Amino acid sequence: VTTDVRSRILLSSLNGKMSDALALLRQQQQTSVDVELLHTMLARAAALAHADTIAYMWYQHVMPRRLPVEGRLLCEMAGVALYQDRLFLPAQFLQHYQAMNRDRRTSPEDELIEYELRRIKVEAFARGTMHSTALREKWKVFLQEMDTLPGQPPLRLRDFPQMTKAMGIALMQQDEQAAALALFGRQPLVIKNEWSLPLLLAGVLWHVPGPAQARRVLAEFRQSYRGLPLLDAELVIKRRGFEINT
Amino acid sequence: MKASSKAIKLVLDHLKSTGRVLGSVESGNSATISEKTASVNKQQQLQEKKPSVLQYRSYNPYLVKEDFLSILPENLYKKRGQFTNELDFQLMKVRDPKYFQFKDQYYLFFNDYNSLTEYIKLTKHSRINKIRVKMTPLAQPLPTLLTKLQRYSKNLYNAFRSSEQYFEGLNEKVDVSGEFTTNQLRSILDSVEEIENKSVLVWNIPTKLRSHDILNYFWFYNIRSSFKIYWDDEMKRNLRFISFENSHDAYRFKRNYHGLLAKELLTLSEKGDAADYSLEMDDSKILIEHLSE
Repeated sequence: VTTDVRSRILLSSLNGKMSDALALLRQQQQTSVDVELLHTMLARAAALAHADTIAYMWYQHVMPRRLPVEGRLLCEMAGVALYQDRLFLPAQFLQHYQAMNRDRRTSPEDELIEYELRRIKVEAFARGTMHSTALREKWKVFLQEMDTLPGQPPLRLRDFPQMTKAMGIALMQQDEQAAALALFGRQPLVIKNEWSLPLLLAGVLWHVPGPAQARRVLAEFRQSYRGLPLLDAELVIKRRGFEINT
Repeated sequence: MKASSKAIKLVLDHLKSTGRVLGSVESGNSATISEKTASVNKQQQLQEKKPSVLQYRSYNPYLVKEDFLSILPENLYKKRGQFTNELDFQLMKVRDPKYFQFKDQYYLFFNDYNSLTEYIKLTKHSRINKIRVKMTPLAQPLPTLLTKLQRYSKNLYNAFRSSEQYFEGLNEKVDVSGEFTTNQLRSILDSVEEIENKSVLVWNIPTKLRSHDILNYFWFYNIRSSFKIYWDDEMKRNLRFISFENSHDAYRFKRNYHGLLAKELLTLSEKGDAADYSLEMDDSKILIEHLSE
């Protein structure tokens, strides 16, 4: 990369013209691009939500050269990939992060990043299978990633908008409604985090047609579980204007 | 540090009770407080001859204080989250005072020139994210810097209060009177940080969505207020300032929605019907920046 080309790439990304910067980058030899330029471009692409650049750089530079990418930036990239339907990327970012940090002891920041990357992986699965795949499968992916997080952080419904939406679509079908309720009983995995089941409950309550069904769902849930944090379920009931005491 | 933290508290309380940013006070009720503050840190007047602010230019908008601490020898073998800050500097991400956009630089505020030179010495050959750090003492005279800082702090404070206050405040003069002390500077930085933690900037929310639509759709977040801070109808661009009741909500909001296509938000919020959907075929994206990142 000549100095001239380098500064043109840099200038384009800084001016928000990511497509121009990407076109120039595509013409360069892979190994000739310096790490500083790559980092700057990735950071700009993430801030401007330019998924093409993120995907290209990931496959052509980061992966083959095994470049370390900072965790916070990975989270940002993953979110962008999710919403622009590069749905295989978030899982790869997570894998990359885990591989890079294998020897490091975990700090609070590491836990935040791990949470985020797993969350986006779950969301990407829910988004990709929005109209296919039974709810049970999405729930299982959720449990595999989120329920197993060390430290058992609170899991909140608002952080899973794609999953919530997918639940709504599933619950419109009769057999899936029954299946959702059955999920309160037979679990595909042993549940470790006390926030996991309440999230499922809150998601179902968000989509039930009316207060009568909401009562039924709550009763069903209570038959199996007591003493779990029902913060989100309460918020949802209040928001929907149901007069039910949890 | 005991005495100075007391002073910080005083100044912060003052800021909270009067809503005035330091330096813009002119009436009598604040005189007692200023006197108290002055007596506490008489000897901590900022030395104007020797710089105590380091400037770091970087196109990376994601750096945080931890990154600048991580390169100190004292933290070499520590985990992130357990870093110490023996030189006691504060970090500020430099933003323009009107629209709060990142200006590709960071400031490190030190208590004195000696700490500053010590930091330069200790981090001479270090790298942040594999990139060699090059820091330069800020050449700008301190009063100029402080005026800018006050301007930023004031506008930010106003925006956090309400859109009316923000737009009215833009025309007011920031008058920096008297001498500045380290503690005053710190208190400004602290209050700025507190507000930044609870604020986000959002590009490209469809103009069809009004403030109440936004409150309604994002009901799961404790949003204080939201208003358009900048717009360009021709370019179809707009920038919103959204403030939250707590920093966690602001952080989650950013994480959960950055990069979403504007037209998708429109359909999600049920404000757009099928016809609108085809009209809004541009692929502008919701870009969210949490001011504290």
